[in-house]
Amino acid sequence: MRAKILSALIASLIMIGAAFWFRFPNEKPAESLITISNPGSAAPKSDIDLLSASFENSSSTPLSTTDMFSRQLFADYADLKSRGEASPANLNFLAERYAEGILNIEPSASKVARVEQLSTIPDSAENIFGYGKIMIAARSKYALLAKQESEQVSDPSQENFDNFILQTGDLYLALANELLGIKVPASLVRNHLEIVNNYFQSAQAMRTIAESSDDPIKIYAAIQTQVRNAKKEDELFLNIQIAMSTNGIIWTNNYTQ
Amino acid sequence: MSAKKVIVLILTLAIASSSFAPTVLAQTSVPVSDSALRQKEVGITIFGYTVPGLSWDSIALVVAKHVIDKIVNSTVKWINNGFEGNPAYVSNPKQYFADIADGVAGEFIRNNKDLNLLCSPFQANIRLSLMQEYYEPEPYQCTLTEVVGNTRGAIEDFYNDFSKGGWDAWFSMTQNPTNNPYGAYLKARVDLDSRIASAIGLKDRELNQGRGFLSYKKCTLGKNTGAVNSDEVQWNLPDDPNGCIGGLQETVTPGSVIENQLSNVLGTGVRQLELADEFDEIVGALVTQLIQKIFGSVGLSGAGKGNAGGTGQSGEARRAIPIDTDGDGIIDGTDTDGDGRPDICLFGGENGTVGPPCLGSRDQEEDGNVISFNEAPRATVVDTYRPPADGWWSDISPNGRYVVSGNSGSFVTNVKAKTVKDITIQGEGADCRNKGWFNNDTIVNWCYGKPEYQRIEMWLVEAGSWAGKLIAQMPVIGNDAVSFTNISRTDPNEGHWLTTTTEGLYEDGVFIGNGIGHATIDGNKLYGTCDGGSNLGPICIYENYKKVGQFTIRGAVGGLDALDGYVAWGGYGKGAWGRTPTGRIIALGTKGTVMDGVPKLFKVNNQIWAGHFNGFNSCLLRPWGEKSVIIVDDCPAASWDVEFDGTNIVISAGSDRGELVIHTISPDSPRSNVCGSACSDMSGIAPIYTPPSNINERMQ
Repeated sequence: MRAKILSALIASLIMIGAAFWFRFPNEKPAESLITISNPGSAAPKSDIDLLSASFENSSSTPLSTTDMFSRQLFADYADLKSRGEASPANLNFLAERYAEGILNIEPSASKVARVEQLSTIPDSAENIFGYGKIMIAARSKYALLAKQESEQVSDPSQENFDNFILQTGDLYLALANELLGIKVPASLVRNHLEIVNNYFQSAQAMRTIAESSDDPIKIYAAIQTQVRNAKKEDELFLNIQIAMSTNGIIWTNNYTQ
Repeated sequence: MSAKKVIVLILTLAIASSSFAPTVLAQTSVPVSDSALRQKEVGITIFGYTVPGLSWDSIALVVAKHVIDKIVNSTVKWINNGFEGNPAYVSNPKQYFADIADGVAGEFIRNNKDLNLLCSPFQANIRLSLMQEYYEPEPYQCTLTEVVGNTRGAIEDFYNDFSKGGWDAWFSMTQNPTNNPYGAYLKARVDLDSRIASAIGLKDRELNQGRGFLSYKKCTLGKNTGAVNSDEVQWNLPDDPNGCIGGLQETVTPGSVIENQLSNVLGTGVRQLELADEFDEIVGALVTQLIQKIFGSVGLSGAGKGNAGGTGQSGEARRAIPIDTDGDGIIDGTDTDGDGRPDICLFGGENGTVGPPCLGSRDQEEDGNVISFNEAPRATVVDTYRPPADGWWSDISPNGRYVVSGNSGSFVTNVKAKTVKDITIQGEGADCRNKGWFNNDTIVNWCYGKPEYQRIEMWLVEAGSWAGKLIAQMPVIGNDAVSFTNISRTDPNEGHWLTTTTEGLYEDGVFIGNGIGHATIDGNKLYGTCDGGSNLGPICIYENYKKVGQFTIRGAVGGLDALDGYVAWGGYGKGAWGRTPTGRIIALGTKGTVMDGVPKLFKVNNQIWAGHFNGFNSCLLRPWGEKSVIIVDDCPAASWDVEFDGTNIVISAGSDRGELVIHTISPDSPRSNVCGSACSDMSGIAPIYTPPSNINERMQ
C-alpha cells in the first residue's frame, strides 16, 4: 500500500513539476547566440539614463532618445562585428532586445487624479442612472468633436496629421478635467478614477505622438500606451455598463457613427 | 489507501499547485468592445468613435520610416563628429578591418579540411603561401602556428625515395593537382578568392522583410547645387529628388549610407566590413520587431483577421508575408490575409500606406495626395508681358532673356525690358522669318531674298545690335524650294541647324536622309522619327550626321524634343512620354487625366524639367520623372516655348490668333499631383538598336 502511495505522490510531483516547467518558458537565447557580457551594451533598458551615461554628449544640443538608441545600436553592432558574431540570429536577438527596450520607455509623466478629488454619492439606482447619463453625454460629445477633427485628415503622412493628434490629446485632457467635476456613485469611484487617469495618460500619449517627429522612437511607446489605454477605456466603460445593467438600465457604450 | 484516495490526493495536489502558480494576464470574463481590432484594421478609436482609414498600422508604418531616417541621420552625424569621444570600437580601424578579411582567410587556411588532405610535405608550404598572399607583413591574427603541423607520411617518404611509391605514385603526384605543390596552390588560391569574394558581398543578396522599409535615395549623378563630390552619399534626400542632377536617384540602404560615411572618415577599407548588409539587417529587424510588437499588442496575432474573418485557425498568428510588387528587389508591402497581394503598403496605397492597391518602390516618389486639376494651386507668377508682336512660333533664347517670334515676320521681345524689335528685313531687303535661336547671342532667320535674286537666304542676327549676317543661300526651285524646317533648340556655342528640302533632311547643310520626321537637335545628336510617317516610332538617333541607333516608343510623336540625352515626345491624344539616357521610358504627362500636349525639355539649375500644355489653356511643368506639376494658366500654347533664365522659368505662349504672352514664374511655385498613380506607369527599358554598319550608305 505504501508503495502505491509513494508512486502516487511521485506521479503528482512529476505533474506539478511539469506544470511549473511549462509555465516558465526559458527566454534565454539559444546557445548559438551571443553571450551578453555587458547588459548595458546589448540589452538596452528602458532607463534612458543608462544610455545617456554611455554616451557623453560633447555638443551643446542634448541627445534625443532616438540619438541615444541609434548610437547604442551602432556601437553594439560594431561590437558584434568586431567579434565576428554578427550572425543573423544575433542581429535579430539584438533587434528584439532593442524593440523591447523602446516599447518599455516610460511615457512622459501625465497628470494624475487622486480619489480625494472626486465627489462621491451613494450607490442608488437613481444616482447610477444619472451618472450613466452624464458619462454617455460627455463621451458622445467628445466623440463628436473627435469626429469633426478627424474629417480634415485621412492619412498619417498628411501635414495636418500632427495637428489632429494634438487636438485629440486636448480632447482627452478636456474630458478628463470635465469628469473630475461630476458626482460618482461610491461603487464606481475606483472605475471612474481609472477613466480620468486613462484620459490624462492618453492626452500625454497623443501629445508625444504629435510632437516627437524629431524623436520618433518615443512615438512607439506612446502608440503602445494609447492602444493599451483605448482597450482599457472599453473595459472601464463596460464596468459602468454592468453596474447600470445590474440596476436595470440598458446602455450601449459605443458612439453611433 | 484505496485507489479513490490516491486519485483525490493527486487532484488535490494538482489544484493546489495551480493556485500557487503565477497567472498570465487573464481575459476578462465579460466580452469587451473590439476597439483594439478596429484600431488596428479600420481606424483608431477615440471615445468610441472610429476614425476611418487612420489605423495604428498605418501610423506605425509612417513612423517606421521616420525612425529609419533618424537612426541613419543620427548615426551619420555622430560618425562625422568623430564619435564625440567614444571611439571605442574604431580606435584601431586597421585592426578592425583587417580582422574581417583575415578572419575569412584564417578560417580557410586553418580549418579547411581539403587542405588537410594535401600531401604533407608541401601542405604547410601551401598554407604559408596563402598566408603570405593575404596577410599583412605584421598579421593581426596569427594562424600560421596553428597550421604548420607537419607529420611525415607516405608521400614524404616517396620524395626521399622513389622506390617507396614508384611510377604509380609519380603519376598520382603529377596528374592530380592537389598532390603537387603547384597545382594545389592554384586550386586553393581560387577557392580562397572565391570565398573572400563571397564574404565581401559579391554574392546575391536576399532581402528580408525588414529591408522593405529601407529604401533610401542618393543622387546618381550628384547634387545640383554646390561643389559636392558626386560620390557623396545624399543621406538626407529620401524624398527630395529636386536636389539631384537630372532628378536621378538610385535606391540605397541605411547600411550603405553609414558605410559610405565611415569610408569618408576612416578610409575605403570599411567596404570589407560588409557593413551595409548587416546594419540594414539589424535596422530592418528592429523596425520589423517594433511594428510586429505594436500590431501584436492590438490583436493581429490573437484577434486578427484570422479569427474575425473565420479564415484562420483560432488563436493562430497569421504570418505577414513581404511582397515585392514591381520586382526591383525592394519589398513594397505586406500580405496579411494570405491572398498574395500586399494589404499594408510601404509606398502608398488607397489611403496612404493602407492598401490595396499599393504602389511599388519605383513609383514611390511623389506619391502624395492627388488633387483635382481645377482645385490645384497655380504657379507663382513673377511677371507677365503681352508684347505687341506677331506671336507665332515663339522661341526663347537659351538664357531666357529674349523671345523671338513671328509668322509673317521676325520680332524679338526683350523679356525684362519689355521692348520689341522688328528684325524682319535684313540686308538689301531680305524678307525674313524667325527660325529660332542658334545660341544665346544669335538668331537664325530664314529669308526670301530680293525677288530678282530668286533665292532663299539664311541670316544670323546678333542679339543686342540686331545686326544680321548672310551666311547661306539656296536657289528657289518651284515656288518655295526650301521649306523652313524648324531650327531646333541648340545648346549655346554648339550651334546646329536643320533644313528640309524635297530630298529630305539636312543638318548643318549635310544630308541626313529622307522620311525623318519631327527632327530635333541635342548637341551633336539628332533625333527624328523614322517610321514612314506613321508617327508611332521608332525614333532614330543620328550622331555626327550618321545614324547610330533607334528605339521604340510608347504613344505617338506629334512633336519631339531632346536635351542632354533625354528625349521627349507626345501628342495625338496618346500622352506625353520621355526616354532617359539609360533607356527607360517614362510617362511625362498626366496620361489622360488632363489632355497632354507635346512636351518640351529645359533645365532648371542643371536639372532636366519637362513641360507640356494641356488643352485647357494651361501649361504643366515639372522636374523630369516627377508626378507633381506646376500649373501655369493663361498659356494658350498654339505654339510655345519654355526656358530658365537662371532665376525664374520663362514661358512664351502664342494663341491660335498669334497673340503672344510671356510669363515669368518661380521654379518654387507650388506643385500638385493631379494624376496620382495614373502618372506612375513605367513601361520599361527601350534599348537602342544599333543598325548594321552599311545602313547609312543604304539610306543615302
